[in-house]
Parts: sequence; C-alpha cells; structure tokens
Amino acid sequence: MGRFLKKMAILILLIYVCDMVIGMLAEKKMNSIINKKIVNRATFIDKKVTAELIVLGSSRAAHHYDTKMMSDSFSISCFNCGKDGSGIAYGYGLLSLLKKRSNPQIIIYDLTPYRDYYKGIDIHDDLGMLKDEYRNDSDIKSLFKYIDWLEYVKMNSRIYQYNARFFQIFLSDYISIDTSYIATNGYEPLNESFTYKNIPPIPSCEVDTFKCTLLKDFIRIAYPAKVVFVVSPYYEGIASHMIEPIRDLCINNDVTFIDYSDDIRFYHNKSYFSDQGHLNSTGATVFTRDLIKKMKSMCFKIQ
Amino acid sequence: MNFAFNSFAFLLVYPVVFCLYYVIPQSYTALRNLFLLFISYSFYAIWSLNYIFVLLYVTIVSYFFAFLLNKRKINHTKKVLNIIGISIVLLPLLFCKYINDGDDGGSLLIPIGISFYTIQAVGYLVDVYYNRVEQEKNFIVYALFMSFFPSIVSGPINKASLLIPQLKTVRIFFDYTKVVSGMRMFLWGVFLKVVIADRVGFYVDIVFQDYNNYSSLTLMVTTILYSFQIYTDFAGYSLLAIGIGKTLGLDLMENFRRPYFAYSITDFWHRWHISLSTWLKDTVYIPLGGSRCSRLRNYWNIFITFLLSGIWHGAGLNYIFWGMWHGIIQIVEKMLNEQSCKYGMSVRIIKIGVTFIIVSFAWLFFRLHSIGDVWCFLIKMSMMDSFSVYVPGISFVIELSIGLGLLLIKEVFDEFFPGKCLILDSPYRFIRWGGYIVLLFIIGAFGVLGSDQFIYAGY
Repeated sequence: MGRFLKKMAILILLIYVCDMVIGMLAEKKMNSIINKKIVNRATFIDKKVTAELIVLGSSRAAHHYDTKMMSDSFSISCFNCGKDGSGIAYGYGLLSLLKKRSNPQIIIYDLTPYRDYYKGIDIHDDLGMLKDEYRNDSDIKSLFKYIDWLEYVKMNSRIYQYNARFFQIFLSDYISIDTSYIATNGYEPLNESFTYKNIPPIPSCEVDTFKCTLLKDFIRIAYPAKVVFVVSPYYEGIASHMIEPIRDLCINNDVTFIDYSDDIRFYHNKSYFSDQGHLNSTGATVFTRDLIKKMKSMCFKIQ
Repeated sequence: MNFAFNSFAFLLVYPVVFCLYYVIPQSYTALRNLFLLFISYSFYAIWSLNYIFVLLYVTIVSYFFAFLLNKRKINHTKKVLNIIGISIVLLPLLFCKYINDGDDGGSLLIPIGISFYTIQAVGYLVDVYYNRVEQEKNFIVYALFMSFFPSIVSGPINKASLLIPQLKTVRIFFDYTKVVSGMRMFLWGVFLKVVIADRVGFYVDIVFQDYNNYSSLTLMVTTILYSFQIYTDFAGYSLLAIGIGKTLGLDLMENFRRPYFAYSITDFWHRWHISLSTWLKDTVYIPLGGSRCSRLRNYWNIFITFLLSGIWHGAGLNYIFWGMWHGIIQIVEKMLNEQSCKYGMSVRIIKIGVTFIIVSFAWLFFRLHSIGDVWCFLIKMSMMDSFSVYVPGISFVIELSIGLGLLLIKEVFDEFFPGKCLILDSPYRFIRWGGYIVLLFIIGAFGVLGSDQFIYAGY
C-alpha cells in the first residue's frame, strides 16, 4: 500500500503542475483575445461594454429589445447584453462586473419566470458563463460559493475554468468574428417566420428561494440605477398566477414591473414570433416601441 | 446532492471510503463486509432515501425464500415455492414500473436501481432452485450482494456464484494490481461518459426534440451518434462500477465487449450488457428449454426471452417492439445459420456494418418512446431532402472527433490486434503515466462536467 500511496502522491503532483501550466497558457491566450480591438459579442459583453441603459436577460432579452431604437429614442447609449441560456445568477454576476467599470442609469432585466423565479431550470448553468471572471473578481467568487460550494472548489482547477472552450480560445485566430452586434447595439434580431418548436413543458411552479434572493441582490447592487423588470411577450402567454408573485416582489422592492405576458396584441400572433418563446424582428420592433412609450409615460428621468 | 459516480461529490467522498476500508485488517472479513454494507445503504439513501425499504424488502423476501428452497429436491412443492418467491420479489417492480404508470412512464416513481436488484434477486432464487448455488446463510453477506453500491444503480447484474464467494473469503489486504487496474477502468469509464456520451447527448437531444426541422442527413447522423451515446453512457457506467469494485478487491462481471464489432445480433448479445444476457440465458432461456428441444420450440424460447428483455426495459410498446425485433432477427439468423462468422475479413466487416445498422434502428425505439414517433422519424429520414448537416460549431466537431477517435482506435486494437497498442496497460511506465495525464487533461478540458444522469439509471 505504501507503494500505491507514493505513486498516487506523484500522480497528484503531476496533475497539479500540468493544470497550472496549461491553465496559464489558456489564460494568456484569453487575455490576448480580450485585448484585441475587435472581439465577439459574448466577450464584448463580459469584458468591455459600458452604456447608460443596459438590457440583461436570456435569449429573449437578446432578441426582443431593439437597443438601437432605444438609444435613438432616449438619446443615451444603450446596449443589449442578453445571453442565450442565461438566468438571474449570470445577470447578477454580469451586473456586478458592469458596475465596476461604469454607472448605468437604467437596467432592464427581461425576466423569464420559470428561469429566474421558479424551480426547474438549473441555476448552475449560469456559473459556467462566469468562469472567466472567477479568478479576477471576488464578487463572482462569492457567487460561486453561494450557489454551489462544490463548483467553487472545482474552480481551483485552471483547466476546469476553461472547460469546453480550449479550441475556441486556441483557434480564435482562425475563426472569423461576427461584428454585426456593433451596429445593432447588441440586439440580435430574428428574421425567421413562425415555426412551432417542440419545447418541453414548464418544469415547476415551486418558487426557488435561491433565485428570489438573487433577484433581491440584483436590485440592491443596481442602486442608484433604476431597475425595470420586464416580462416580454410569449406566443401562448403565461398564467397570471405565475406572474403575481413576481409583481409583488417588485412592489415590495420598489422596482418597476412591466408585464407583456398577457398582451393580446402578441397572444397567438404568428406574425410577431419566430417560435413560441421568441419575437421575430417585426414583433421586437412593435414591442420595443411600446416599451419605450410606457417607460417615457412612467417619467423615467434620464440624466 | 448529485452523487453519480462521475460527480465531483463522489470523487471527494470515495477516497475516504477507500481509505477506511483498507484500514480494516485483512482478517476481519466480516467487519469489511459490514462496512461495505453500511456504505452501500448510505449511498442508496443519498440516491433514493424514500425507497430504501423497497431494497430491504426485496433482500429479506429473497433471503427467506432461498432458505425455503435450499437443498430441496426439485419437485412440485419446490416449484410452487419458487414461483411464489419470485412473484413476491417482483411485486414492487411490477407496481412501480408497470402498474403505477405516471405521465412520463412512471419513471418519477421508480426507486433507483429497482430493475437491477430485483432481477438479481430473481436470478439468485432460480440458481438456488436449480441447486446451482447454496442459499447464503449469512444475511450480511447476502444483503451486501444485493446492495453492493457500485452495481446497484445500473448493473452489472451480479451472479451469486461469482460475487458471494469473493465476499466470504479472506481477501488480500491490498491487491495493488487490482486497485490500479480498477482505477484505470474508472478513468476510461469517466472518459467514455463525460467526453463522449454527454457531449454527443447535447447534439442528439437538440435534434430528437425537434426532428421535423432538421434534414434527413442530420437525422442519419443523429441515429448513429445516439448509438454511440447509449453505448458510451452505459459502458462508461459499467466500467466505473467494475473499476470501483476492483479497487475494493472485488471482481464484478464484465458487461461490454466491443458490441459494435458484432457480426450478428446473436453475437451482439454476447457483447452488449453481458450480465443481462447471462441472466436471461440462466433464468429464462434455459428453464424454457434453451436449444435442447425442437427447432420451433427453440425459436419460441428465443422470442420469449427477448420479449421479456424488452419488457424489463420499460412498460411501453416501444420497448416491447425493441425486444421482439432483437428476438426475431436472432431467429432469422438461426434459420439461415448466420449467427457466427465463417467468412473472411471483408465479409466480416460487411456483417459488422449491417449488424450496426440493425442495432441503431432498434435504438430509435429507446429514444423516441413511441412507435408513431419512430415511424415519423424514419419517414423524415428517408426523404433525403437536403445534404446539409446540423453542426453546432467547429469546437464541437473537434472535441467529438477526439473522443470518438480515441474510442475507435482502442476498440479496433482490442478487437483485431489485442495486446498490440497498450497505453494505460503498457508495460512502460512513461507511456502509462503519459496516458493517464493526457486522458485526465481531455476529461478536464473537453468533458461535460456538469451532467450526471446515466441513461440506464432510469431502468
């Protein structure tokens, strides 16, 4: 057994050294990508974006909010930071990073009830999107520790930090960068006509206390910026009993809440949607225009 | 908490279990067994606390009926006792899986591993009935045989004649070769699961969820990839289980032997889920008469055996059809005398290809859950509407190629050139250690390190 323990110790040491070396190489390459003039949308959002009005949320945020229109209308800089598959944990993490490099005046969070408030969609996926910042930011480290202690421990491995992204990082010089996001202020219009997609049913109506706490923390760290929670349109709408608790949370935390989930203009209107969960560019234009009107009528003061 | 064998939580806990096990002196076999029993029930409680009593029920009932059956002559009374015992043991499985059918096939109510430990108990009763083994009088040993944590969730299905003697004998204090071999198997099992199975799973899930919106060629690619997903997922798990067993000095049954190199469906079942096919042979096929009967009766025995195999996998018509498909193909092979491969390499390769296509077609019944869906899928696949293939990104293609490439190289060498290209088993230390480091890097860099459900853990 002594021989076994000796060899295990040597193996663990070798693994540690390889992890350090490979991790450092990946980090160096990552830094060189970030320091380039032109970066992809995801890197720009995580590392560089500064704007006076920020839109956060999942793919619904990315595809629903025409931030170019908002920028023209409000006469302030606006950027759409919506990210596919992200939830409130990513939103909170990104906001804490944004606040360190700028002072946005208005933060719009596109809230997806079953992703940001109720159980079902796993919050852990968001941590994967924040791995790059783990070593650089103590707030992100604390977020990892809060959500998943095991994930926090795993992040001690440098290779794990870049898990599933090695090729993206080392082949970045050979992959062309889509810069169309620059012209649209991050907004990603969907131009497809309606296709009915086989989407799994909403997983659960049980409130997720983790997510609730993160929503409140989101509101707290956003201060003094004005926070607006928006439930943007769904093709099939959302049951009102799922929305009411969220509305109550907003009232209790002095946050503006705008709900389009039961707006009849969008309900079962195929011309506005590309699938049941996402507006197409036509729908996004109508929605954004209406949202701007509502926000102006709420006398949002922009300095 | 997620506590699958490829989870970080398990990797933190198991070294503690391992060290405590080896602290117990070699001569204290009973204490070692008690410790393993405690750990097995503790792990089961983490996986499925509410249903720990089902496991205990099956253990106690099968223990009791084995006591009644032990050493009796095979007569009418013994037969009746055996049937009653098997029926009572099967009750929880029948109820959870087939009678109390929920919206999603009842899987929410199925105690984890029930399909495996129940048929393990049934196999034990049949072995005692036929006097192949004696009843195990030591309840601790028997309970450990039933609940042994590496294999309880998704197999291998243990045979009493193989595992119980190992549990009873005084084991070597620390079998270095076995422990290292076990760790190598564990490492390769993790590679299969997180680098290949879970990576492929992303692609397969996206396409199967919405197959009408993808091209025919994409559906063909997805069918092939699903065959690899189910293989690497299940074989990966089996290797984890067998590897863990080996690190504790115990040999579990081999469960996979390069099944996609099978040259016939008959040969496929000698290579796929070997512990299940052994169980089916010993518990169903041979008692029905096996091949020691008329040809027609033999075909019937094959058909029933594989029909039961399908039913064991699930209550739905799709599983029954899957089982029947395998049974019928084997009957046809037997009729045409094509179970073996008497031809040269080129014909063998063709037969391997044909067998792979037959098996991949059958897997669609596993994945799509209804015969109607399979039919629609096949129609869409046959349309040949476009030569485009859905590709999620260049990184995905490269990562998958590395995983599948390594798997293919290893399997080709193991099948056709055994002992020729050893890496993890190389006699040279620097090659072995280089292999460990490279494999660990691949797992850390390309593995899907968040997913934790094995496909067969739902059975």
